[in-house]
Amino acid sequence: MAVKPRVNVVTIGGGWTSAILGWKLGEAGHKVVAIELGPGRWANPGFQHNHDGLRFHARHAMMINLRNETWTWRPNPDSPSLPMRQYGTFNPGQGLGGAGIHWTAQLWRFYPQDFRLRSSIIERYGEEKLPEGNTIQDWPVSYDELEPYYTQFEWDIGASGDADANPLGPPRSRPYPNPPLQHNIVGDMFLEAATQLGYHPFPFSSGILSQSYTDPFGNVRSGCLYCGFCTRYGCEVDAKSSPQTTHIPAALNTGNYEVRTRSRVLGINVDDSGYATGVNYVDENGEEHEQPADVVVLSGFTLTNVRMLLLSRGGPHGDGIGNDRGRVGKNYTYQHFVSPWRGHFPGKNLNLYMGNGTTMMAMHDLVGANLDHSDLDFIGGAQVWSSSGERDPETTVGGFPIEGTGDGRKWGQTWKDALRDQWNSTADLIMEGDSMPYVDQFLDLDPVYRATDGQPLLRLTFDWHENDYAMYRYVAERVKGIMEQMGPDLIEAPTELDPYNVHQYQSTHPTGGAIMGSDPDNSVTNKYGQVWDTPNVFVTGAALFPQNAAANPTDTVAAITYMQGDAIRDQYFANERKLMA
Amino acid sequence: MAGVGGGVLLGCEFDPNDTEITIPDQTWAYAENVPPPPDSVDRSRLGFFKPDEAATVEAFTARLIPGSPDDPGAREAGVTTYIDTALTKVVGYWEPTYLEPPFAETYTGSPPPEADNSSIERIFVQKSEIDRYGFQSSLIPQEIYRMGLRSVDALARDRFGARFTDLSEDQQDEIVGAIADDDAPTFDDPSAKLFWKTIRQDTVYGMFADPAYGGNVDMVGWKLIGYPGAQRGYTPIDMQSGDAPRPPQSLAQLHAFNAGVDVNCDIVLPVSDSDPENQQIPASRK
Ligand SMILES: Cc1cc2nc3c(=O)[nH]c(=O)nc-3n(C[C@H](O)[C@H](O)[C@H](O)COP(=O)(O)OP(=O)(O)OC[C@H]3O[C@@H](n4cnc5c(N)ncnc54)[C@H](O)[C@@H]3O)c2cc1C
Ligand code: SF4
Repeated sequence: MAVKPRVNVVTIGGGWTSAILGWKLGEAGHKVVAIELGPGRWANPGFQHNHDGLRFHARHAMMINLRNETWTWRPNPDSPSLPMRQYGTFNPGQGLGGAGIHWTAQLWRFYPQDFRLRSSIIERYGEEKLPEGNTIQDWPVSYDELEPYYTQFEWDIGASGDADANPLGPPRSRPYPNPPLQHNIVGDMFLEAATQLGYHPFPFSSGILSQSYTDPFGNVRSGCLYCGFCTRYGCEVDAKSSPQTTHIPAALNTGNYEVRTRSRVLGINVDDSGYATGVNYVDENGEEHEQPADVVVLSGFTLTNVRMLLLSRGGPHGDGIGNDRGRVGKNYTYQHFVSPWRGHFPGKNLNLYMGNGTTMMAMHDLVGANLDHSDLDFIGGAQVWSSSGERDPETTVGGFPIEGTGDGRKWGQTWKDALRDQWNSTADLIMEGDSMPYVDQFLDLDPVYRATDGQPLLRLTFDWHENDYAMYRYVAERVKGIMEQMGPDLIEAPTELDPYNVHQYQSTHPTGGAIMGSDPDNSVTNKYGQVWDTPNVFVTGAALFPQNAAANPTDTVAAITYMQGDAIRDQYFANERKLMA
Repeated sequence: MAGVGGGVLLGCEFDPNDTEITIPDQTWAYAENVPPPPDSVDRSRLGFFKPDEAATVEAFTARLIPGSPDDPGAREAGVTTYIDTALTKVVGYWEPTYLEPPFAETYTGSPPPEADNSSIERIFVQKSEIDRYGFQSSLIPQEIYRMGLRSVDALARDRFGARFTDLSEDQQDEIVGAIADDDAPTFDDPSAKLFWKTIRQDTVYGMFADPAYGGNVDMVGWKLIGYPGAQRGYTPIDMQSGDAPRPPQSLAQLHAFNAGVDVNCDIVLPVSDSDPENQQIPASRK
């Protein structure tokens, strides 16, 4: 096994968090090497000719290869776990830029209350309002501390949105650098209906450029073409912000960032005193290498980050790095990301195949921070959105006909006629709801199933709880009201939430498992993602979230990574191996 | 018969004379997850199906999306060619699929005594819960079709005393309906549910995926629903117009950016990819 020359920092994964740290630390003269599972790739030529819905959307061409590695799931600790054999609930990415290439670019900040959820609920409603068995925690970082980093990230990537349009939104120190994207027709229908009902709909905020933009690094980028092949594709004109449009070039320009692609990290090496010494990885030829480093950064997305901690059992960390007090895997949360509300508008060409997942309207009236829960049987809440764009036939025609059509058959003449009449004139409404942590909801290593390299797979123990069913019921009734107001001739609006399953895609927003907290008894890391029991290991990304909010994670992930980068650069390297205050 | 736990060989042509379906060992070497469409599709011969199997698939899928020359359905769209091509070009799954054992066994009532689920060999799941776990079959698509089509004919014989292709359309609809409703006792492995899910999904792909995959001939599927296919882009005005969709365009008709120019860059990056294109940074990003 070859031992590579020592570097200051090795990152497991070459996605978004790696690129941000590569840029910030590389600029300060630290040598950073990223070990990345998938291939290198750029918009040109890589994404020039990828408008193939079967390959990229239905068959998940950009995702981690489940042939080799997947995740197992069980609904509760008493049930058996089975592997997710084909893609369902989430789609973690692989390749240079990670999931930051194929993301949707729905760009949201969390609300100030989200960062002190436990305290704010207790202050407002008393402790008995917290659901049974919950492990809800305050974050060790506040909205005010992150606000400047949110703003920097949004200006670095050229975010699009209207800062004044959402009267209920979190406070901002600066507007968005670009106006919102052009929304689709359903956006207007929703705007009218929701406004009539007293809600406050507004145009989406997006990590996609609505017009050409010169970013603070001097890159000149093109605006969006509304091409309709966006989520699960790389953008052919770099209008969708990604690590490749922004942070990877900045990192590479420092001369101190290097990415080794097609290389899979096996685990973190540890010395007898419990400090990390680097990682071992296997390259595309199957050869194993050791990469010694002063600092190891977990940049492999939530699920890989937690699994790597649990697999790394060297030195005194017999149960895994960060797990000396049994906290790794705890506070695993997810999200309610579903669109079961459909309405048919006969004769209209809604043309939802155009655009992307941000060319629409949102409303935040039902988000936890904006609801008074005094008389409600749940905590938390959800965003509500109008129909997204990028509708392709490969993944949608199977869902027709709408309930109540003809003889109800999902095949034969009924199906064909429904496709002709309904496919381009059916709108859906979407909810993105938050998810609370519970003691019976966690990640650990599966006792039976293994990756093809012999290492155990990560096991998810997860199901919805009473709070989820009650929250869904409340939101569903209101969304149904909006859909009715929009005036369809056929409506489908399930009022009850189904138990969780792994075969239906919901969102790639699994969070927690290596959470940040105020002390080692309630968390795996401090507020900088620095692992309490192994201070030269840092966790990045949504694994750090104590619980998940009703918003997509990346704005918050990036803001935290900016903060981490500054802290590692200014504090950590001045005093290596010490916990930062 | 496939060895359970084998891998998926990408880009391997299926030999129709070989009645065994064998899967080579999988490796950890990086391979493209999901192959691109085939370079060409041979409509003149079958690659995987035997002629009677192809006839059954064609008759069956024509009941899923019926058609006529004036109003094309699955038959006219070439759905059978799509499925046969898919089964010929890739042994196993086109999408990334985890095939390591053990495969779950189901039970009803109280759990069997072996079901302490600590065993590496066998995992038992309550039948009412198994659907929540998604796809859990040990069969590969070639096996699902080969064995499932036998069960289709067995059901046709049971109910009407003849093969599926020899039934009237109404009788065929009864058989299709029974399978759709999971009321088809001649199915074992694959289950009626799995067979139904597979053939309905493949009918969708054969009718509505890019013509490069062998189906959706003349983009008839896209014309049916009003989908313009692989367009380069739309304008903000298009987003708001509500106009009838443009005539469709396939991937092969999509114009390339920078036609004739492979890579507009000259800087080699410290990105150690074996594909030289991936090591270069586009001029716009320099
Ligand atoms: C389909 C989809 C849609 C999304 N939409 C949105 C959205 O609209 N808004 C939003 O805010 N967020 C969205 N996200 C989430 C967003 O992509 C992530 O938050 C973001 O990419 C996280 O960055 P990261 O660095 O933590 O992980 P990633 O960017 O995913 O990078 C992780 C990298 O680690 C690599 N890796 C994993 N295991 C190993 C290993 N063992 N060895 C070496 N490398 C490894 C992977 O190959 C990957 O490249 C979406 C995600 C997906 C998948
Ligand atoms: S919709 Fe816009 S941002 Fe998305 S891939 Fe197309 S051009 Fe790029």
